Amino acid sequence: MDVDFALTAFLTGWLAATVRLAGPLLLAALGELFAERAGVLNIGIEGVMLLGALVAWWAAWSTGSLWLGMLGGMAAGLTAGGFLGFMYVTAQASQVVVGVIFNIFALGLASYAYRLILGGASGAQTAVMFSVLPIPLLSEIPFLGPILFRHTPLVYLTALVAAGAWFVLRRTSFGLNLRAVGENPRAADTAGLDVTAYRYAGVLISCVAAGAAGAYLVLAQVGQFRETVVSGQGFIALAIVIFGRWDPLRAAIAALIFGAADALQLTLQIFTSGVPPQLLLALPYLVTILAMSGLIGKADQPESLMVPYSRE
Amino acid sequence: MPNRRAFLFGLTAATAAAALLSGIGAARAADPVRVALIMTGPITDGGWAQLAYEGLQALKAKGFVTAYAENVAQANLVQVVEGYADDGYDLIIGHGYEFGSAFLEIAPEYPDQKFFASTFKPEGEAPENLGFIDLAYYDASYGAGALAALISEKGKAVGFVGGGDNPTQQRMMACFVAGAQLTREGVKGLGVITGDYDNAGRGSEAASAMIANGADVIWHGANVTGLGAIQGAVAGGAKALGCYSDQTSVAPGTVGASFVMNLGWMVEQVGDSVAAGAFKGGEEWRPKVTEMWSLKAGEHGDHDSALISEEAWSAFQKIWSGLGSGEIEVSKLAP
Repeated sequence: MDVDFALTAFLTGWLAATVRLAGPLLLAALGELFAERAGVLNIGIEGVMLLGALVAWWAAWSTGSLWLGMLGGMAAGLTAGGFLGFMYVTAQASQVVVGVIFNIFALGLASYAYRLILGGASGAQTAVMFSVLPIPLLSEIPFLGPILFRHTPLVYLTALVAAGAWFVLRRTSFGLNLRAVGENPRAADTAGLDVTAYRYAGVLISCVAAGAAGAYLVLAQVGQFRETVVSGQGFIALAIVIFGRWDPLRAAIAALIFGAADALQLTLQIFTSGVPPQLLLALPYLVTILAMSGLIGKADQPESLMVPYSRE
Repeated sequence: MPNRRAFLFGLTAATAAAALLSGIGAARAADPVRVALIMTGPITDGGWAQLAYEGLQALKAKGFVTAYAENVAQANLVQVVEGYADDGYDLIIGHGYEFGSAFLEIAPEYPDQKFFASTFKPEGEAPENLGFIDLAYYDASYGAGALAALISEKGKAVGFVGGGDNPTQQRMMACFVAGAQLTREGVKGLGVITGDYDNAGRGSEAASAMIANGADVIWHGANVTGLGAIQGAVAGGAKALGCYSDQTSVAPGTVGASFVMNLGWMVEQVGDSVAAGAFKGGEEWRPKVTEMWSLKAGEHGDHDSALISEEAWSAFQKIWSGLGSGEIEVSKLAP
């Protein structure tokens, strides 16, 4: 009986942590999916997340409103998306080069702006953060309640965004057209679709989502801004898109698997003092690499990913 | 082409003349000591780099000529350091473990200038113009473990959240655990190395996992991951102790005290020693833990008495001064 109780407690803790860790990664991945489905590999989301995190922190800190912070992060994403869209789609620059350079630029910009905002003041600022909002009734369900329904509002919103993304991509003409543009832009163009507009839409959606994901990190996890607050999580989101085979629901599962591996290694370290942590630390990455290599075919990749399109 | 060569020659001649002139000028003035601080992180990191930068500012206020470079990538490290050395800086401080072995190679090329790396001395011989420091991480970690155990309400367990997976963090964890378990019977020291200094989600989950296993005080040794750990403590209703800088304002009512690293003091000491001609190179400077670290709690002074009882505080003070005087030898107590 006691063992059962301990096991339940362990599972509940582990799975709830899984959901929390997967949240921001999934949000960024869902947006990236739209860009890639339209044929644009937006590596710049790492930098966009950082800018979103900065503006979200600044807006929430100066106004005291968390939702204004969230909106600020998304607005930062939209602005960055306008620039990135121009480079990817209109200027037809190499998507990899633009994305990588943008990430470096964003780091410099964020550092500079952060310093201007602080104005020389040093020390930590009091945190601005979302608190946990248990859903009435549902959160009381044994086992499932604490895992799924005792989180910050951002977790629930991310779940809604995942469902919405699936619906838009699979069940609306906008989604169908977007996918057509990513598969065969020439045919889509011939059929009368505005390839440029759809690709801009994909890039803008991915950047708004990345800005929101950056805001998520600040407003639900740290409560402060630091230049290192994103540090590679945008790249993990890129991996989750591939891992999830360019599909919102499978991306959600991929993000949960990554989060589960991550949460598991943290928990296992407490119990297994003998096992070298290096082994456990590699777990989430090992799972991702395994999932991405061989097990998943390239068949689902949008045919024209990374190929700029121009009318003759 | 000839034009360009002539131009280059002219430029070199002009530079040489300028150097000569400025050399004479410097000799005539009171010879302010020139100090350069090289950091791999941003000076607004709220900890490691920021504290050292504040020390540099203090030197500047004393009349030193100062310069700094931040966010220096590992790949550019040697060029940046040599740049300042070629510019004739009297003291170049490399702030971080990254500079340890790099300085071993660079320092002999500039025998008249001093170098200081704020990290342990690597194995082997070091030149006379190159100094290192033992920052007393392990004594501080032992002290943090002791304080955590003393302020634990349930007396069951306390936890450490580590950053990058490296020997220093591993050893900090072991010393924290030893400090906790040797100070208060029945308290178990827990620890998780998250593998990342800047992942708040992981820090928070590591803290939550330890809280779920009975821990009710959390300490950390990381940057953004550490901020996450403190938020994990807030969410789990546990107490927290800050690290590196005064983190009271991160979570008032949760952070009882912070182990603040006196990196500004370190930079000032090294600068002053060069100015006085008393720089000690070729070895590792070992300041006492009570010099290198201090306890701070914002407006509460050195601890928040709402979270740390007077009894616990005086018991901790005894251990802390024991660590400072060397009566408590952590190297013998932690496996």
